[in-house]
Amino acid sequence: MITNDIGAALRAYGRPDTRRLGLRSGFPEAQRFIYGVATDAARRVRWNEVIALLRKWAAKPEDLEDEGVKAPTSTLILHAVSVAGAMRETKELPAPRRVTPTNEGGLLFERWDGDLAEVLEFLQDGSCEMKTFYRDRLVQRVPLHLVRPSRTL
Amino acid sequence: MEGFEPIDDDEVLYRRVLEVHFDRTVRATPDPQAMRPIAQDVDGLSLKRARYWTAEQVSRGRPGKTYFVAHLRAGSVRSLLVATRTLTLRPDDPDVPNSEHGHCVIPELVYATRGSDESESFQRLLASTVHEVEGPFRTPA
Repeated sequence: MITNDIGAALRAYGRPDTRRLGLRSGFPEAQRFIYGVATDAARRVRWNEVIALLRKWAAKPEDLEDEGVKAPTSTLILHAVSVAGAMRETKELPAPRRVTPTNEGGLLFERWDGDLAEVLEFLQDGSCEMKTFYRDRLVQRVPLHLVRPSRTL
Repeated sequence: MEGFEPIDDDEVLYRRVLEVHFDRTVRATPDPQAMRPIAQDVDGLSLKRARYWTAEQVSRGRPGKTYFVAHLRAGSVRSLLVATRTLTLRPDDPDVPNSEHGHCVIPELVYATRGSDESESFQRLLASTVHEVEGPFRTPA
């Protein structure tokens, strides 16, 4: 699927395959993880913090370089800003608890609750991948095909 | 030979962590990226033995930059399990050129396969196993 509707593509975010993880959909842990516990105002505040941090990195990406570690480009970081903005406007999407540059010129949005963790990775080539971990084991890997936005938020 | 002998289960091992890969206010353990092999980790994830190095020595990186040092217990590293696979710890071989006193690698975690499901699971497990993070340490400019 190729889409420029970022919000629609990312509705899958926050919905791990609970059957594959052996959790009933009504299981409280799964419910909490899917819908989050934050109010919408708190959720928006957190997304705004994420966007501010990404913008700071985009202004000076070379600060993220190190031995054997490639910094993400400003273009990729601003792409992540656009995606984050779209996610912020999509009501049930919880904000990441951690945002991290990868060692390979990418970025990660990560959140976790109990034994479940979900990582949205922006790879150096501009593609995206969503990974679900259960008890720290990778159990699901889903590529997301997002068209780069033509402008940034 | 001292510094190249087998590693005991109760030994502490150090891994340098970039400043952006650890935030105490978010989580007590570093980001799994800190345990992801980098280009230099060709023959395994590089660790230093606390018997022979101080955390401050291990923290030294690029001039002017800040780092943390993650502490891992050897026995905990060896007890990690993904499917039926476990991790091992290999001290440097003193007969090999460029071997380093007090250095070891986890040979199952190499740069070439860093993106495999198994490697990513172990990276995450290793980060969760960290029992202490020291720092920040600033490398002098």
